[in-house]
Amino acid sequence: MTLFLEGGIAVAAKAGADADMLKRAKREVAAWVLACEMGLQTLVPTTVLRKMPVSIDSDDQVDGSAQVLWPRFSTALDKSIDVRHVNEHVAMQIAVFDSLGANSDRSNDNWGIIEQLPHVVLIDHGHAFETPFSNSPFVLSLKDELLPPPLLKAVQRFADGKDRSRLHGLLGDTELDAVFDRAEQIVANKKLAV
Amino acid sequence: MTSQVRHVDIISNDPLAGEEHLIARVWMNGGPELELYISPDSKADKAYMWSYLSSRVRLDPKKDPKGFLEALPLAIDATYVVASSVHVADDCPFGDAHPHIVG
Repeated sequence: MTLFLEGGIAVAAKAGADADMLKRAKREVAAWVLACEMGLQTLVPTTVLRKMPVSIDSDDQVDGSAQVLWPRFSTALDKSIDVRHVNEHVAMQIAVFDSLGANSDRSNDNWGIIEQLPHVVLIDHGHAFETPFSNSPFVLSLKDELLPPPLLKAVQRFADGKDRSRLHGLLGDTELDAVFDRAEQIVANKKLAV
Repeated sequence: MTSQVRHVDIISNDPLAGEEHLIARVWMNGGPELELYISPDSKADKAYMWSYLSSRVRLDPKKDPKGFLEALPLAIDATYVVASSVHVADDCPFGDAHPHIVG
């Protein structure tokens, strides 16, 4: 019997060995924070900023992202599935998450499923927040749909919480403002920000 | 594919299990087009795999097959899926007969 414990048993570590890698590591954490603040934390594995060795055989410690690894996770590529195979409700949750985070790297190798659980899991967010809008296939396939009221309410609540958001300190001012601008746009249009 | 033909392996990585599985292999056969092999372990067909590879490399594999092949290692570097460097079969950890290794 296998029990799936919340919190996991190992992490995928991405050390901030230079300024660019540190920025990507912080974006990984910011994606987790965004998911939490949207109430979508089942979509993204727990990811935190931690001191870690810059490489396996190094004694030098740097900040980096530590993301819980899920057991029995298979990428969409492994399963040969795409956005059309995802439950419409979950697909819209992913689309909202990717739209807010301007995810420009939602390929079939960085989302997938966990066997025996109904969850879709999103990984590898080092390139989120860096473009004005997302080109995620989830966003592009649902961009003309109205958001369901509960999800729209979650975006409104997120937008209203800018001052207390934990995204401060993880994203630069421009990136941070852009996230909340997209949230305002979603609330105003009741559709994804594209 | 002869032993000196340069190829790139597309590898599924399971960090928890410490396992890597070959899911596809791309190479130039001397002609104008790239060849694609899909591992029996993979559920993908060639059309799906080409669509995935083309989502990662913004070059036309028909117009610039060599550039496409050489761009794969940098373009596919995710937590659970990676592309190997360009290498010849003699240097390939997967070989021809054993597309699955445990490390």
